[in-house]
Amino acid sequence: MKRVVITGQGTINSLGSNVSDTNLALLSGNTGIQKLDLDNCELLRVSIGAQIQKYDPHVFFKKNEISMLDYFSQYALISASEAINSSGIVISDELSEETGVIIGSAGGGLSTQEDNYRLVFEDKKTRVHPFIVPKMMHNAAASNIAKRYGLRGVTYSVSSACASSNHAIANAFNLIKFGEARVMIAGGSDAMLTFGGVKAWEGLRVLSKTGCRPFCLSRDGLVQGEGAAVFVLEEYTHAYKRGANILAEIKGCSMTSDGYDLVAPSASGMKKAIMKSLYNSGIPADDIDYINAHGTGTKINDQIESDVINLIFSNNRISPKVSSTKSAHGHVMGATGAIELLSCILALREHVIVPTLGLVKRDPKIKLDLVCGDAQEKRVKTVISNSFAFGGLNSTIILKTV
Amino acid sequence: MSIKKVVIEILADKALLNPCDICMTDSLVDLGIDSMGIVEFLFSVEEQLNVDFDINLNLETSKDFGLITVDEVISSFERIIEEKDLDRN
Repeated sequence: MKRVVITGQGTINSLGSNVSDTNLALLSGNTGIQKLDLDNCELLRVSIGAQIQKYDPHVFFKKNEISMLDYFSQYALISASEAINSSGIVISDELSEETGVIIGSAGGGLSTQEDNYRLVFEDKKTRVHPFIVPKMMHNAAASNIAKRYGLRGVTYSVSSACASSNHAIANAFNLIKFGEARVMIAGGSDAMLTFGGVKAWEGLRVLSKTGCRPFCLSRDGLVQGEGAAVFVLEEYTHAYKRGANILAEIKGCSMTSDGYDLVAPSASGMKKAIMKSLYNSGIPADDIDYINAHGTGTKINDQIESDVINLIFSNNRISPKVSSTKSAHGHVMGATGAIELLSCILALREHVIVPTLGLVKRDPKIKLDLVCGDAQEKRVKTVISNSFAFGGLNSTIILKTV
Repeated sequence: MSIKKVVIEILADKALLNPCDICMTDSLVDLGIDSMGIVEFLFSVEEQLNVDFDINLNLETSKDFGLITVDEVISSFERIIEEKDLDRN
């Protein structure tokens, strides 16, 4: 079985349109959560979100490309481009046969669907733009990346709601591990901050109107975000031989289902996901230095996740540090795990832990060694990133320094 | 239609019971209505009564909401609607 390393990373989200701006914002304790700028915003109960400010597709794409690309594909392409450039990889004709793309997304081309439903049903238009199908299809982001770089290996999209990008990375990891691919471009992208996207979430009555405050006593729900993060995953010897800058090694992942409820979190499901990733990576719980929590800021998730972390890691010689970065970049749905992996890589490389923002008063029932307020220095060798999604689908990833 | 009648009919529909079998001291959980059922129940009441309940289930967790009795659910809706009418006036 092959070892798998990360050699490139890229992102665009409410904190920045590349990794260094995002990391700087995360370390400075800035939040991307602001008042939403959407048409008909007055018809929404919730008016905040972590929106990419002043986004202009023309900065990143040619005019003729834009008509083919939904926002979620644009964000994925921008992130993939940064990841591939920063990895320094040259994908030869031969290597392209063994290089594929897996992009997770919860909503896919939501704004394309929404805009065109409006044209047909509200404006009574009798025809729509000819590229609606290739724009909105769930695999559009993955296929557009493959098209741009001429990649001919295993390529598809995965959708597991808010665990989509962890599933994408876990699947890509397995493909390299078992020799099906040498390089994989993997991550997640979502652009659900549309009128319909927010309206649909409103209906579930779990959105906060006041801000995302994971693990805070007064937490009152999640805040939606948008964006993408994409990574270059590479077989270790391939990366080593070409002298790649190895950011981290993926030691193991888990992918599990609660088989229980579509929306309620399950303690046993979370526990199984974390335990399985530890087992798959052959790493004892005691070695975990930092946990990037799912930490949505909802009453139920944060309590159950905290209990589960305590149960698994309570015997550690040194308690793992825990933070949730959703208070900075929002809950980016199918891209959230990938964006959170940036903080994990930052912890491994710079030995600094990104804080949980917005914590006014710690919930006394949350018994975690939380990093909140300011970033904290700590020698970090091994980290876990948790994603627990609607549908009862979980995926956690363990990274280690090389 | 009275708020009480609407609530009982919707609860009976969700719980697959006859309206006459809904006991005022039952909780929503007693009636077998889960977290998703509660969200759907709130939506149905809003639709039937043409009101907007600004209820965040993080403030009043779905579990807590499920534990209050049918009687308490009805009076809380009556209170919200009364307050909204007063605001409108």
